[in-house]
Amino acid sequence: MAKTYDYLFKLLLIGDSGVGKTCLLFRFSEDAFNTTFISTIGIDFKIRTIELDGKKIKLQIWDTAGQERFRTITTAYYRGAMGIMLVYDITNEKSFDNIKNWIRNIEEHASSDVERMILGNKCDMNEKRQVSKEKGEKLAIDYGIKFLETSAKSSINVEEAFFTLARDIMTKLNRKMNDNSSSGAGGPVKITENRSKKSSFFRCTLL
Amino acid sequence: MAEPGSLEAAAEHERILREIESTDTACIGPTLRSVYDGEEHGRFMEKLEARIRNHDREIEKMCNFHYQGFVDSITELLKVRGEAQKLKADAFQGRIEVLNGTMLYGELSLLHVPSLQCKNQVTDTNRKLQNEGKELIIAMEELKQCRLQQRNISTTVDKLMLCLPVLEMYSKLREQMKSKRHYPALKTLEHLEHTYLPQVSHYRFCRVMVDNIPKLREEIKEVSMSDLKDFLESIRKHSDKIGETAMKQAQQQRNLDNIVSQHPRIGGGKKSKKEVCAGSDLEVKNTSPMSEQDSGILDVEDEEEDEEVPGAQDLVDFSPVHRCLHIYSVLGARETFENYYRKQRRKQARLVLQPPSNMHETLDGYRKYFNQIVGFFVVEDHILHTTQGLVNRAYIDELWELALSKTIAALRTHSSYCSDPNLVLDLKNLIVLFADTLQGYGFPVNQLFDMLLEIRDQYSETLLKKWSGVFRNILDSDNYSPIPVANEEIYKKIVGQFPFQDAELEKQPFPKKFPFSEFVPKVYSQIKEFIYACLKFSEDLHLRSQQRAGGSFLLRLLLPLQDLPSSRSTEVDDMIRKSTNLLLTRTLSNCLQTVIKRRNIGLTELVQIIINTTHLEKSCRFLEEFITNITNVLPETVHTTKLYGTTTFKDARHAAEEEIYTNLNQKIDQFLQLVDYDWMAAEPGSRASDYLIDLIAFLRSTFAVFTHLPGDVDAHSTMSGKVAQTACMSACKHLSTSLMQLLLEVEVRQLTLGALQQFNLDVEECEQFARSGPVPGFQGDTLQLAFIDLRQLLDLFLHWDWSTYLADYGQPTCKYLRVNPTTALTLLEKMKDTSRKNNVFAQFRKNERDKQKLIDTVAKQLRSLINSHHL
Repeated sequence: MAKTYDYLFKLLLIGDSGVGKTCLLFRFSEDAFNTTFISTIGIDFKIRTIELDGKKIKLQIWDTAGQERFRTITTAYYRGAMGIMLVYDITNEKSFDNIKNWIRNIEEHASSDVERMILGNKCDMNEKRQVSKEKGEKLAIDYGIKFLETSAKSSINVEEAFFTLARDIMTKLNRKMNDNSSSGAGGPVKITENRSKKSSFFRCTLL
Repeated sequence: MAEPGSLEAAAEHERILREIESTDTACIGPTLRSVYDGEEHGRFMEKLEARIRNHDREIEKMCNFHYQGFVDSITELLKVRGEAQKLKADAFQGRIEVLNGTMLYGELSLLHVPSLQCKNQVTDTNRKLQNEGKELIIAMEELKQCRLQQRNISTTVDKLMLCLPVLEMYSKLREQMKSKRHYPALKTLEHLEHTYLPQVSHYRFCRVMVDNIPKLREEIKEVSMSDLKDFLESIRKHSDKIGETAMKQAQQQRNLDNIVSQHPRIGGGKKSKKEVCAGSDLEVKNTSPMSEQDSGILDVEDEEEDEEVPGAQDLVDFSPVHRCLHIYSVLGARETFENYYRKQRRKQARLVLQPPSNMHETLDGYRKYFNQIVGFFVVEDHILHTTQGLVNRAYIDELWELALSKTIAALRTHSSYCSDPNLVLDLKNLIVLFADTLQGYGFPVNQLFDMLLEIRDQYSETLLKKWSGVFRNILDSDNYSPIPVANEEIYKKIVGQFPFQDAELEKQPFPKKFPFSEFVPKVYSQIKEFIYACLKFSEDLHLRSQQRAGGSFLLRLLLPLQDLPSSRSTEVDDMIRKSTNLLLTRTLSNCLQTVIKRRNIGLTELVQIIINTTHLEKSCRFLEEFITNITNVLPETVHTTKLYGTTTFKDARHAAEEEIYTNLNQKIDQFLQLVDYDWMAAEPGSRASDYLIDLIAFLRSTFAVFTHLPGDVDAHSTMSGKVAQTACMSACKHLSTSLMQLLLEVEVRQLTLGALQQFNLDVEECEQFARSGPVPGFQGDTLQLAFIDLRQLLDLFLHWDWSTYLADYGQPTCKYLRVNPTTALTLLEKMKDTSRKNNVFAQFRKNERDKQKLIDTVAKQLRSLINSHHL
């Protein structure tokens, strides 16, 4: 079985129930949208391969149930995640306020160097907006996280969001690899072109 | 050009008139001839008449003025007559005296007593006598003259008497022509030609008349033909109005019949018909002023007509046809006329039967089309009954055949465009009315009623299409989560929509949840709506079938042998059941299957669909009851069709179950995309592969959430034990097979023991999962058996237990029963290849060399094993 990718990044979508996590993922993986709200039970995932700097990157994106009752199941997935999307709904103040709690969850359960990003979804519904863009931006700045307003329905900034997160993970990864090679410490570094990538992937996920 | 010409003629006429007035009567002849020779003789006649009227007035005036003189003259004349009488008598006396004198003379001469005196006296007397006689002779001469005159006068009178009727006839003819009474004119003409003219044919004016007769005939013919053409044109224009009226009357008749059938004692049918006629505010525009005088035939027929049909045909004045027909008959050109009429009407029929291309868009389009056709045939029917053979049965039947086939074809085409069930319903009513109307006129309409069956299918189809959309909407907009119930009110509302009884749920405190999602009560209500819609089509027909004396067409079509009183409701019941079955087994089934087969459907939806269809399946018997309540047909009745809804829901459920298994397998496949074994690894890792850990965690959490009810209010639906077990078993088998495939992959040419040990770690992870009882209800290590092939193969290789394998091969107690020698050989050869690659090292290590040898030996033995078992 030939390997069809260079890197595997595991991403996680978290946020309150109904903010549109599944829709964002559906838009990103299938480029489609479904208006009816079907709440996610437990956990689900989609895989999409993207290209960054000529590298094939498989994004395995985990979609978690926002409902409290699935919290034990979903937090188990924080650890393996390399990037986490924090999603709120711009038409729902409470979902925005809860971002802080979600960040606390990340701090508690995810690995310390996980890449994060805040998304204010449903930005197509401007007339029902409860959370201003500035407010979102400010929160992101406070936590030192990137921020985008998105719309899964109108396909605004969805690609950008995932690509940005993937690029940040990639950058971090490259930096680490450079550190490793400069320090001269052994470990599984480049033997052949192909193998080296795989090794780096393993290292990364095992961190 | 015409102006100066007519002026000239007028001057000429004036001159002639003067001439006539001034000259002696004897000389009038040539003058008149010049008039007759001229072309404007009609106009001259008018002038002459005017002049005559003038003179008449003058004469009258003059007469009045000289009246007394005239009377005196008459008196004088009378006196003269008396004198003349007297004179006559005197003359007679005188003659007698003369005779006497002669006799005396004779006596005297006999007596021989002549005397001079006497001779003188005689001479004197003779002279006197001569004188007297002269007067007499004059009188006689006068008398003779008078007699002659008298005879001449009477001859003239006779001749004139002979000529006068001819002239009178001629002037009557002219009169009739002028007032457009062409048929009487024709009769007069005939009379003139055959009775009067032959008697006086030698007169010059008569010859002129004879010459004129064919011209007049032609003129009449032309005029009546142009009348007919006008008629045809107007009939074409009015036929939709006629049709509309006829349909309206049929409708009223029907309504009345309904009332009558409800109160059978009120009035007979005929009376009610008359009432309808009176009631319908028909403007009978009998504008023909001469219809009465025209022909007796029409009147007689009309009376007969009144009884049979209401007066749609009264909208039209048919007299031009009748006149024209009579005229042509009289002229001996009846056949020409018939041909012409039929040809024209055929043409019109073709036009009428050509439906407008956008007819299907509105009911009005259909209505206009039907009106035209009805109008056409009402007219033809009237023509058939009021003329003798202008059109005959064969001709009408032929046209009717044509009409039927064309109409049905048109309906077929146009109704197929229709997607609005209400329009189809209206169309059906219109067709029924159309057929009824024409049946009232005696046309056979069975084919139209047969057509209604097709329309009914059409209706069903459009209903199904509509409901397909309805169901799709419901399924698309559903949230596939159990309906939450906050209070009693909502609970009652849902239970009112959908027959659901659960003592457990009833006992639970609010808030609680129904097990099914919104789509269950919605779909159930819509099925009921569909049934009502179906009923709409049959309801009216049902009514019709009771009225139709010839028996219900529905009866005829659906249950030809049924004759029971309840059969009509049975057919309706049957029809509804059949349509509902189509709705359930085709439309709803397709909609459900589409949702289930949707590419991105999740387990949530699938699990909920299983629950929902289970409840819908249970509700099928309530649908049966519902239909029974509507149609009053007990389900036990022989002819009732069962509802097949249960199969639809069962099939949907099975499809959803299958989809769950497929869905899980696809998820497993997605994990397997991430597989990244290092087949050349010298040492195994410390734990199972990353992807596999994720995979197992995913399966674990998925089965956890879909099998264990968390028990809180937000509970979602869960898989039934059996579905969960099957899903879990299927997932494990799929995983096991996939892993085996990975191991035996042709592309993996070589693998190390270290890699095999890493692989073993992954399989152990799987077995651990199987052992942990991810879903409840598995007996012992049933689930673990899914990995038994892999386990035995790995054990054989990791323990290097070839002696046992080869020794026990084929025995039921064999430890490696599940290991196929071919599989073992394939894997072994991959390991052998590895050893060869590492030849350099191998030569230094005895162990390696021994192992290499052993592999070769085992491979040989395996091959012979395979050969012996496959030969």
